Parts: sequence; C-alpha cells; structure tokens
Amino acid sequence: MKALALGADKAVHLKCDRIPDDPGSAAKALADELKALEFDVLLFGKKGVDDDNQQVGPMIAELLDVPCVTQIVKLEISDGRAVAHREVEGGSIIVETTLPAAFTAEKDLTVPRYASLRELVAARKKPIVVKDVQLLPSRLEIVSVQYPPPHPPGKIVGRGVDAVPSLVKLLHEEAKVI
Amino acid sequence: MTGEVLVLAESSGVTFRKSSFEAVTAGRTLADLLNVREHVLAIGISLNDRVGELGKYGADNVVLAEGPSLALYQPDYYRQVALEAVKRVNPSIILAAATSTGKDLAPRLAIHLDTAVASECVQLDLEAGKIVATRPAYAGKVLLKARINSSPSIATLRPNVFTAKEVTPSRNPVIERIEFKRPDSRMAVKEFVTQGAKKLDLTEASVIISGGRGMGGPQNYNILEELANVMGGVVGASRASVDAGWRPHSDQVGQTGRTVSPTLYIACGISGAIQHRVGMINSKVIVAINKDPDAPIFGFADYGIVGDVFEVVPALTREMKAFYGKT
Repeated sequence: MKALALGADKAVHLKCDRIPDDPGSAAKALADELKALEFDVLLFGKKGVDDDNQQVGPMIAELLDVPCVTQIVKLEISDGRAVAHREVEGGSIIVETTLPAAFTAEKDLTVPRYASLRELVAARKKPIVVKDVQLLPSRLEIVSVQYPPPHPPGKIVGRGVDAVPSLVKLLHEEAKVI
Repeated sequence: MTGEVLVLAESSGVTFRKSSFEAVTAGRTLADLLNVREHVLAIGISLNDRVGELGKYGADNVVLAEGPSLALYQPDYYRQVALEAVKRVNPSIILAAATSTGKDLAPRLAIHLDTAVASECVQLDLEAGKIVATRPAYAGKVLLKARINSSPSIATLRPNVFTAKEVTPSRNPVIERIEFKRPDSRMAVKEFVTQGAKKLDLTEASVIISGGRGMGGPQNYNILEELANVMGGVVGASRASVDAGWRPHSDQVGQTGRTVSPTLYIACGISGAIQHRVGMINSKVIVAINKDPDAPIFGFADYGIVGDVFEVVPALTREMKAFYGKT
C-alpha cells in the first residue's frame, strides 16, 4: 500500500506457502513472475533488513539473464543505456549497461519521501493482485536461532579530561591495543 | 561428499585483500577436517609473484586468472572465471570474503550451480560433511545457524571476523592457469573513483574514530581527523550523522553501512543504538566518549569516559601524541 501511495501503479503480492528463508527459492518465485513482464529497469533494495542475505537481486538478474549492478548510489538513464555508480570498498565503480537491467539500491541512491494524504487515498483504488506461490524446497535450512553472547560490561574510566591519561594507560597496559 | 574446497582470493589487481587471507585460512581449516585439498582462485591483473602468500595461509593449489580487464570486479568476467575454476576443481565448498565483490558474485554462482549461499558468516562448522554457517540476522539481534543442504555449499565470510593464520610449514602451491578470454558483456566497467584522500577503507582499518550526533555538525569532525592522524586510524560515522548530511554514507558504521572490526574503536558522541552496535561490536576494544552517562554505548564499551567530546577528544589527541612520541 505504501509503495502504491509513493507512485507504483500496480502491485502483485506473491503469497508464499511458508517464510522464504532460502533467498534462492524467493528469487525463483519472483523471476517466474517477472519473466512474463516487459521492463527496462528492475530495482531492488540492496538487502532485506531481516535476514540480511543480500542475494535476491543478483539471483533474479541471473535467472532472467539481464545485466545487474548491485549496491548503487547513483543511476542515470538515457538513450536506452544506464550509468550506475556502485559503492565498493574505498570508493565507487562506474558501470555502464544496456537496458533492460537490474539494480540494487545502496542507501544514498534516493531519499525516500512520505506519501501525501491524497496519494494514500488514491492508493486504495489501485489494484493489488494476490497470487499463491509454492516455493521450491529450501536448501538453506535454519537449524537454530540464538541471541548473540552478551558483550561483557566495560568500565567507566572517569569523567572529563582528567580521565584521559588513565584511558591511554589502560589501552596500553591492560588492553594492549596501542 | 568428496569434493574439495575452493576459495576465491580477491585482489586490488596486484595484491590480495586481507579478507581473502582470512577466507584462505577458514578454507584450510575445512579442508583439513574433510581431508581434502584447498584450491584458491586468484583473480587480478598480475598476481604470479604473490601466489606464495596464498601458500603461507594454507593453499595447496592456486588457480590463477590474470588479465588487464580483471583489475576491477566485472560480474560477467568474474563469473566466467569462477565457473571455469569450479569445473576444474569440482569443489563441495566454495568460500569468499563478504566484500562488495564476494556478495555480488556468490549469489550469481549459486544460480548457475543450482545451490545456496550463506551470507556474511561469522562461524563455519561441519555436520556430516555439510556446512552449518552461523550468521547474524535482524540487525545482529540474533545469530542464525543455517545448514546448506545443496552442493557445492557457498559461504561468504564477514571480513575481520576470521583470523588469517599462517600454516607451518608453509605450502608451496601448484599453479594452474585459466586462459582468460573476455566474454561479450552488456556491462562495461568505466572507472574506479576513490573517495577523497582516505587511505584505508573502514573495513580494513585497525583504528577507527567514529563520530555521532554528539559531534554537533560537520565542521567539528576535524578533531576526530586529528586524533585519527595521530593514531594512524580512519574516521567513521553513525547513522544519525550520515542522515544529517554531515558525513558521506561510505563512512557509516552500522547495519545499513559498514561492518567493521578494528583493533580499537573509539565512539565519540555516539549513543550506541542497536543498528550502530551491530556494525562495530566485533571490534577488539571499544572506547566510548559521551556526555550522557546513561547512553547505551557504555553498556558494551570496554572503556568509557563520561564527558564532553569537545574537551575529551583534543585532550586524548595530545595524550596520544605524547604516547607515540615516547615509544
């Protein structure tokens, strides 16, 4: 609904028979749906903020055999070509690609805006097609979910500037990191 | 399962990344447990003279792919080389560092090899010959253990979590070359633009001085830069200061930014929200400087100073200058 309010014209909800914990099975379900569509640009987020797998975008691109540039912070499209800036360690790589192509967005690509009330109302009239999907068997099987071990509590060295000499001493003599 | 272990060693073109040595070490451990050989695929411009380094970390064999167009990561080129290496080695396990390259390439390989990937692993175990990967999820709030039930199992390893260990005696790897012929591609890698004068990426730095909302504005980061200069570190930022436009996103430490694990992380004016914590909790030693004694960061910092960053940080810079002057 939020996506429709922000400008999407139509939504398709692939309703899975279970939680898609293997990104490969999610990618296959999405690619099956997408291959019937004509598109110039496929936009994904870099990763889901639940499983943090960061796999679905490039997987779909491989399944559909379209170029894919991941982790992009800038995208310019003209004359059937796209130039994307991909954020990597220590800088960015500029990649030019033909269209259609897929991209996954890094945080700085755009600033998400809020939908206006008028858009929110209009979104309720837009179609959401719900399709039941049976996912392929998962090959990434979650065997356990645990809390990470607690980080041992540290110590307050002191207050203000007076604590600085003790801190340096501790870092040198106790922690041995300097 | 009798297949071997294949590790992707990424390079800057002519030198290997530290995270690749970590992956080679992790691969060595698995190869020993399975009693198989470890093969390392090295991709870059010219790496022949560097192959010995892979042997130091335990590589039995090196598959070498060199070429001027392999300097920067190009998905179609790297995929072709990696699939060729897989064909030759027939691995049951494929490892790569969870860098921008590893995280792009691994899912692509998984589709072509019809298998699954465990991303950003912090621990790898073997159960009945299958990889059980431990990986953080939900912003690091939980650790998932996931078994990969298909072969080859692919895992990307979070940088700075696995330790690169030299083996004794050091191996003298057999080199096998892949003749790289540039395939047709619809993508063209134009250029690499470095960000500013920064020497090191956050993920590779051993000292990080990070600033948050408590820095008050972009003009005040110079005091962090000075401390970083004295200590040979780099400056990072919290989400709040990146969202405020004070620092570029590439400086962000946390869930939607970089995951770092330096030897020393000094958090200045950072409250320590969960999404920041997940990005730096693996630092060896965490120091927090914050004027709010109740800031969550003091709950997981090793050492804390309650105080004003504008007073404490310059004092720390002076003290560090004196310290490094002495030693």
